[in-house]
Amino acid sequence: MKLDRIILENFGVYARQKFQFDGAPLVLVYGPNESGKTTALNGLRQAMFGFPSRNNYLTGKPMSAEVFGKLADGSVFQFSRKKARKDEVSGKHGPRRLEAEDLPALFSNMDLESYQQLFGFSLDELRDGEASLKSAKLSEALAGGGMGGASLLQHVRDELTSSATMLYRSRGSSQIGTLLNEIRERQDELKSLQVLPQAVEELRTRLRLAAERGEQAKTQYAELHKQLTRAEKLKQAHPKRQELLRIDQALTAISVPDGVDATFIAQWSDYAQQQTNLTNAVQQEQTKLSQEQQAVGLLAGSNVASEHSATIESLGHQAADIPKLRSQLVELKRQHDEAERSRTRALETLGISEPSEAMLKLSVSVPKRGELEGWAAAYERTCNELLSITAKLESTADQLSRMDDSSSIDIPDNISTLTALVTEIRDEELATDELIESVCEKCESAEYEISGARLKNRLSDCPTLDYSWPVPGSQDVARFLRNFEEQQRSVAQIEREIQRLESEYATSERELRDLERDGERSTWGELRQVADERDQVVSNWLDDLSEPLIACSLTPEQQKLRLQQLRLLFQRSDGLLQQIVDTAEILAKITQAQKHLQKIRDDISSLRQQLVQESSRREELEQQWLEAWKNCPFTPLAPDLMSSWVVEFESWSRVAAALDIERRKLVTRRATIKQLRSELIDQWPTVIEFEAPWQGLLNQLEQWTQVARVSQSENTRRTAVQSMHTELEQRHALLTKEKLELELVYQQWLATNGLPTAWPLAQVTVLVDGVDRLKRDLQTLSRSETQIEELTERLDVFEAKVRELASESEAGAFAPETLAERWLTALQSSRKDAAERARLSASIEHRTSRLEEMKTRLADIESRLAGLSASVVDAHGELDRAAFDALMERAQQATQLRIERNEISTSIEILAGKESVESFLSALAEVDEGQIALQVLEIKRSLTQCEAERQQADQDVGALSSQLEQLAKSDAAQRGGQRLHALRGQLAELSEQWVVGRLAQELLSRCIDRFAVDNEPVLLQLTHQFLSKLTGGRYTSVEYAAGTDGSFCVRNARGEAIEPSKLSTGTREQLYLAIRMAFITHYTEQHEPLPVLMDDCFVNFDDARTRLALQTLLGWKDSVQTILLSCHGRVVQQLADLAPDTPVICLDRHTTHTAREVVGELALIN
Amino acid sequence: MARIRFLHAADVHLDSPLCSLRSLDEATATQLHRASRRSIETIVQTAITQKVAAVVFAGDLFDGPVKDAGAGLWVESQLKRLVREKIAVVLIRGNHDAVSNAQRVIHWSDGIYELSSDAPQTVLLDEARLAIHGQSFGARAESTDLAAAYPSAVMGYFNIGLLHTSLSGSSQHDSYAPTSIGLLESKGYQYWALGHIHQRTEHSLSDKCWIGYSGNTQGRHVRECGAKGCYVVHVEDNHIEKMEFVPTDSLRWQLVSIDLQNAQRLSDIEDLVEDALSPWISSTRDDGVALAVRLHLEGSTSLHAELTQPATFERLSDALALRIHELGDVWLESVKVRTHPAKMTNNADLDVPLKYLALIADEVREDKKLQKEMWKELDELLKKARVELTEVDWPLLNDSERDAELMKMLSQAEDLLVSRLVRAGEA
Repeated sequence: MKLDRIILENFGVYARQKFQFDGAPLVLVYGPNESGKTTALNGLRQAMFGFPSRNNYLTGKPMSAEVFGKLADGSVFQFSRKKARKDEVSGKHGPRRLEAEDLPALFSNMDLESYQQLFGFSLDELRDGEASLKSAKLSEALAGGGMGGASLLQHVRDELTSSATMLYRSRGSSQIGTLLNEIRERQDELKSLQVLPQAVEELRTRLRLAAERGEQAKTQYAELHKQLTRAEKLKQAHPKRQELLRIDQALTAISVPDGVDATFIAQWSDYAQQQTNLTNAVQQEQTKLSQEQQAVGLLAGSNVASEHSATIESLGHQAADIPKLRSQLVELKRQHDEAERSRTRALETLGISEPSEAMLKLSVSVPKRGELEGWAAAYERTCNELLSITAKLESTADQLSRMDDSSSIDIPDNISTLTALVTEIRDEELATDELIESVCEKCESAEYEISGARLKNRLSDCPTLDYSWPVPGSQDVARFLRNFEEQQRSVAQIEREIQRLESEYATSERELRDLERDGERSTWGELRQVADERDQVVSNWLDDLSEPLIACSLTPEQQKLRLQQLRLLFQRSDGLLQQIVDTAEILAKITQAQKHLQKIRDDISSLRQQLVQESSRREELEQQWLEAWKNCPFTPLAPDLMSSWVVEFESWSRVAAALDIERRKLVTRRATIKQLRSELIDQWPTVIEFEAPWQGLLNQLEQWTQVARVSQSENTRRTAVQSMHTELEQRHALLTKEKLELELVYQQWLATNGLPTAWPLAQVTVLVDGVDRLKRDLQTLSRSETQIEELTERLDVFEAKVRELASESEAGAFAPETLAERWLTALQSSRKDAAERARLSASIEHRTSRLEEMKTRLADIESRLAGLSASVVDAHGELDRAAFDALMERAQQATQLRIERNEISTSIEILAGKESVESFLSALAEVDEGQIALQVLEIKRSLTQCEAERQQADQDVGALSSQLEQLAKSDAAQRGGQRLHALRGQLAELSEQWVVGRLAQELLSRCIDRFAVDNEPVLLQLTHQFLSKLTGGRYTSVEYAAGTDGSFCVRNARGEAIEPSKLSTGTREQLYLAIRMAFITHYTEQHEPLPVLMDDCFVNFDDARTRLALQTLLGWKDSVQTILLSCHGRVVQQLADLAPDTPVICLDRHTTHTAREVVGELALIN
Repeated sequence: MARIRFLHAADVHLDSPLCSLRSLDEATATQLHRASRRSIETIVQTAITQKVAAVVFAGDLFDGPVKDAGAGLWVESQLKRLVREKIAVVLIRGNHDAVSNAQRVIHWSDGIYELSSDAPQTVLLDEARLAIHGQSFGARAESTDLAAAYPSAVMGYFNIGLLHTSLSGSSQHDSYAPTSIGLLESKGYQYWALGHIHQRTEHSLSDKCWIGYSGNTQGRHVRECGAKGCYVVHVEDNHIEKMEFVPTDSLRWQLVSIDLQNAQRLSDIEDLVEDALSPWISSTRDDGVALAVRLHLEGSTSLHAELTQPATFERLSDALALRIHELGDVWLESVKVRTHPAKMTNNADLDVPLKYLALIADEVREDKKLQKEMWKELDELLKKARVELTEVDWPLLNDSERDAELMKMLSQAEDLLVSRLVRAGEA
């Protein structure tokens, strides 16, 4: 494949960049630093193989590329590619349409990465490749040719080795080794965590034994406890039995008559108790009764006058309020006086003697009051302002009248315009004068005149000299001159060379003729003749010798003669041969001379051809010369003559042009002045009257300006005063109107409310307040008068009643209310005594009846007691009271003892429990108290011991059970097992990684070896060729180093084998390049070749190496197209020397030229 | 016969360790190593709650390698709970617990029947009218057809056959007590409670009676993914009315494959993973169990080279572990890179060394001799760590899997090389 062109759009810095390759085998893309060389490189790659989705060259505009090229089979293809989520591709290959999926086939199914590895060269890669060759094996080096270098393989191999070693190595530390150690540690740890069956069995046995011990102790304890209980019971029962015996003895000792039993005693006790209680109660009642009777006697007295009690009670209750009423009356009178005074003041305020009915009905709401206040405020404000304005109006009227008295001066009103105009005219005229002076000075310059005359004189057909003639520039004329001179020199040189060659030709021709003369003497015929004779002699001799008879007849002399004859013939032929050899040298010289002559003829012919070309060039130059002058209105002279003319013309024309410009300016200025003057007259018609120089006019204008400034100030002031006066008048009228409106509204309101129309608006709120106050005062007066009247009447009635009652009771000289209070107190006291007497009388009556009842009951009980006593007497004869009481006491003792005995018997029965009481008592009778105490102590000791044993057994059982439970619950072994399992899992992971890495290493080694075996012969052969070319024959081949493990050496032209590490860096780079070129060549012999992209690979090469590299590239396989990117001018230079027509794409100028042209431009620039 | 229920469980493999997870906290680590015990607790609780008549364990209650006798004590204490609730427990030993240390210390209470290994034994539960037949493994390797000697069905009872077997013809499992469906059917039992295969049987293996595995009670690694548990069998009038699966696992495993074909950046992977996991997460959340996932990153991707870098891979794995855990009670077991370079040199004509890579790899795949040479290269590690790797059933040391595993690793090695060569080329 060869590319014709690639067009990039919106790719990084390139809005549009065209790379024109035209299928050239070698194309240089030249761009100085910062000219976008790297962008171009990536652009070319991406144009062919696709825009990556993550693209550094996106500009925001649609990125696209067009690729045109031709395949090795001659078919033409073209496609365009637009950047999208997936590149949009469309194009043609021959007659067929080309889609995105067709492109891989077009590019040998290579992707960008593979392409870069195989067909891309960069300086970095060259450096890496060179370095890798120091230690590479030959197989690696050759395989690396197809992989972007052996360094890549070495890097990958090193990386794999490093990873594998880090994971595992048989000796030394590694991840897997460390993990294995940890696993073993964990295994040991796990063993210690695991519970062994023996341990569990042992625990179980111990548990069983402890449980048995506990059971035994429990049984023993129960038995002992039973014994202790019985002993304890005997111990408790022993004193009870003693008590029982004692009671029995006491009962036997007590003698009680028949019938005196417990019932009797209980009945007797009950009646005795009732008798005592009733006796006490009767005594208490009698005491209380006598106390009440005494109290009734003390309360005896008369009843107060019952007919006046109601009046007294009423007056007594009223008396307390009388002083208060009197105070109220005084206060009301004070308030009445105060209201009276306030009313008088209000009437005065309102300016009336009595309020009208309407006024008393007047009620002003709060909003209305606000409105009235607003009216009053507005009215006051308006009045005040009116007063102020009136004063101001008077003042302004005075001012205006004073101003009207002064008179104004008659001056123009456009003084400033006139001043500007006059100033401008003056400046213009001054500038014009200066310009005229300058132009005149320049025009009269001798040099200018002389120069112009000289220029005219040189041209025979010269019309008027004009600086605007289209005369070629002096540089152009100088270039023409140089070209003409160069051409003349060239022609002269060619002519001289032709003369020299013709002279040499004549000489050589003469020499040739001499040689030909020498060579004309031919010895070939004589030599042939001698040879014939010699053959004849030998033939004859052989014929003779073949005939035995003749042979026998030949004498030695004859033989000798024949031999001599032959020797002579040989000597003669030798001489002739020497002559022939001599002649051959002459012939060679003749041939050489003829060739020399021919070469001279060719050279002369070539020179004549050059002469023809030169004359043609001369014609072209002359034509160009005339072309350059064709617009000029005269015929140019020869270039050498025109050269100085042009220089002088340029100088003169500059002056002439400047003069012309100034003249134009002068005309313009004059027109301006004329226009300004006309304008001045228009503006200032009387200016003629002021015939004066410009300064005089300006003075006049200045004077007017001063006057006008003063007058203007006055006018301004008057205008201002007038304006103010007018404004004040307007304001005055407005305010007057507002005032009238307010007054009208107010009057209407007064009339509506029946109020005096004389009320001033400013005082309206005060007056309204006065009305309100007056209304309140009138109400207060009315209310207080009524109250005073009521109070006075109440006091009078009270006093009259008291006086009336006092006259009846002849009371002392007290105030009526004091009298009434005293009467009330006395009445209340007499009522209280009467009530108490009634209560006591009722209580005495009740108590008396109750006492009687109690006495009856007491008599009844006494009779019952007497009955009981009588029954005992009847049985045992007569008993006195004391004897009866003693008898009763004994009976009571016996009853008590029997109760005690029953209780003791019951407790003994309880202690005996299930055992019969008899056997219990008999057992009790057999032991004494000391024995029982000893037995109890003994049993308790045994019990304590047994309890301790049981507790110990229980503790053991608990502890062992707990241990077993702990073992059951323990997850330490699980956790340890889990941890171990996790570590083993990690081991498996790492092992897998290691195995994959090792397999990869093995695959890589085998792959490299196999590649080398399959391709070594042809790759080595190609490498030799390229190495030889690249090194200019200094190194010829690459081969395995003897007795090594696959490393290699390079053989130089002298046959010496050199290890790659001992080569210079430059040579190793050449070697690396040779290997890569060999691989590409090998590849392209079997597949469609793809363009080779070389990115500034030769930076480290000196000029000689660069030249060799370029030569090698130029001589590379025809089908390979190399696109070399460089920023170095020397590469262009060398390319121009080696292949001047090689296309060079200049990135900075966006052009494509041949190397020769680019070098020429570079030379010009430099 | 009234309605009864019984519970069928198998392959508890008590205290068998689970595969480790990344970024574990203490609580989850405990959950991990207690998972098998949790499953027993759930079984016991389910039996009590559902008031089953019997609980049957079809072997491998214990995991063989576990030498901790404490586990036996723990099981004893748990099963006592069933006895207290008058629930009979019938169990047999399988290949794993045939010689388990854990079992040596157990003193089964009355009501727990461990069937003999000498001959088939029948337990009759008169109240429930259940006849449970079975025989324990006497040794780890039991190659005879134990079921053949099982007695015939007891009339009037619901007969349950308890058997630890791989049946016959299972390629994935070693052959233990092999037997056939036909033979099992011939015994006339209504239910065959099988153990050994860890994958639950969802439909009976026979039309005549129920024959099936309940699977293991807790998945131990990602190859045992999905819900694990036991069956509660509802029986009425000697017929199975309903089979109720009860999950007993507390950590569920899932293998999730992520196609990275469209991933442009490493950070894209996290989003893809989150999307792929969401259905599994909601499913396990409903069941109230934690989820442990292994991620298989697959497909042709431009990220392949980066993913094969150990440091990058570790960083990514850590990031994924954190991201996944943020989604809920979800843990990352591991990430496996099974991707391929995005632009494999698929051109057979491309006469470059990369082509030779494919060529050599193909040759190794085909040539046993070359494979033998490869094995030699690997031998140094395999010798050194064989014991440890065998413990985790490392496929490369498993005779039935080793060749396939080697081929898989060979492909990985090939991909690794391609990516490195291309990546290094880019660099």
